[in-house]
Amino acid sequence: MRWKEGEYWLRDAVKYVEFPPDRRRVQEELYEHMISRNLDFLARGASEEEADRLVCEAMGDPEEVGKALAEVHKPFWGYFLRVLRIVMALVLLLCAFQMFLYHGGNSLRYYRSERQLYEAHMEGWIGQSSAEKCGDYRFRLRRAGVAGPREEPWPQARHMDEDSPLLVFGDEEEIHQFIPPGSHLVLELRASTWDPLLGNPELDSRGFTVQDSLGNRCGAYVYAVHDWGFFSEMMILTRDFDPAAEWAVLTYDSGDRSFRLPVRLKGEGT
Amino acid sequence: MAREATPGGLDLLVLHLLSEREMYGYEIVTELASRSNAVFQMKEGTLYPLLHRLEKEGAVTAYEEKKEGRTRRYYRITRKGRGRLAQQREEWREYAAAVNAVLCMPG
Repeated sequence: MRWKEGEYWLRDAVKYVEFPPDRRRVQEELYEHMISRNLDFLARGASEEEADRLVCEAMGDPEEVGKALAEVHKPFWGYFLRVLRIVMALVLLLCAFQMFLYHGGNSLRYYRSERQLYEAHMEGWIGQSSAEKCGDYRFRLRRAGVAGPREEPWPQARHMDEDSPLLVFGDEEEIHQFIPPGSHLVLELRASTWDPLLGNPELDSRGFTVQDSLGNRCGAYVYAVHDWGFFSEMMILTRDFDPAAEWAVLTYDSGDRSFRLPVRLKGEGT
Repeated sequence: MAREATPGGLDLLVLHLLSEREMYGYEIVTELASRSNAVFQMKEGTLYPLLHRLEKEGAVTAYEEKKEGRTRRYYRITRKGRGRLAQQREEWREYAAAVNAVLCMPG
């Protein structure tokens, strides 16, 4: 089939449609129409060359048609929808990535171990909803529990240097030294913040103490910190904690910043 | 006598054809020419801006269907399109009656 003039017509018409997916759709539809018309002229006895020319005549002025199509297919909404789709895909990817951090991959070794830890060694984990403001941070207690002696090594984590008031990086070996066998109170705090906790001079990791329902008061130290971007998490440990305690109060006091978080350890109403 | 349908009237004609059955563009053009004894012979390319506008306005919806190796885009009138068709029919009746009254012809 001779189809030269028709192709020019089509190209001249669709070039006015700026958004590529719309342009493709319009081109396919017009092409289908022109093929039908071409076959019609051929069936009526026109030569291929003649049919090609007649099709273009029947279609009209490509510029006029193209401009009228461009009026309907504005690129703004096309691009807007495309950007919206990309943004949504990125949000989904980000969510998937966050879930991956919690449930798979390297970082997850830590969380997997923690989950095993909770199941194997801890009792009475009770979520708390109270939140305490401290500087730019708002701390919320996520979980608390009493850990028994651990046989497996603690997972790799970032932690404080006992000699330093700041939270710093440490390696796995050091962490093992910090956590001896025994009964410990483990608290997991979450801070809603974009400002990483690690290395932040506002937070003195030596400022934590714990008092339990039996009247014992002892020091607590931060043994792990995770900065996730949207929030930070901090694990606090109190050594040789009496497992008979029904509740405890975590106190942070450092200069002008302080907060107290109650921790219930033995069921409702106690 | 070959004549293009007036732009305003073309919506009415196309919506009416689509209210009878689903059609693709080429079918609409041939049906329009056939029923009007070739009086309404439009420049065929101009049908598509109109169809796409109607689709954008929600008066018609479109879907693609493959038949005999060819992909055609069929148009179907919507409830909104039927409402508009009814309104345009009424306007056309009033207009035709007014013209007939001036020409002293029976409506």
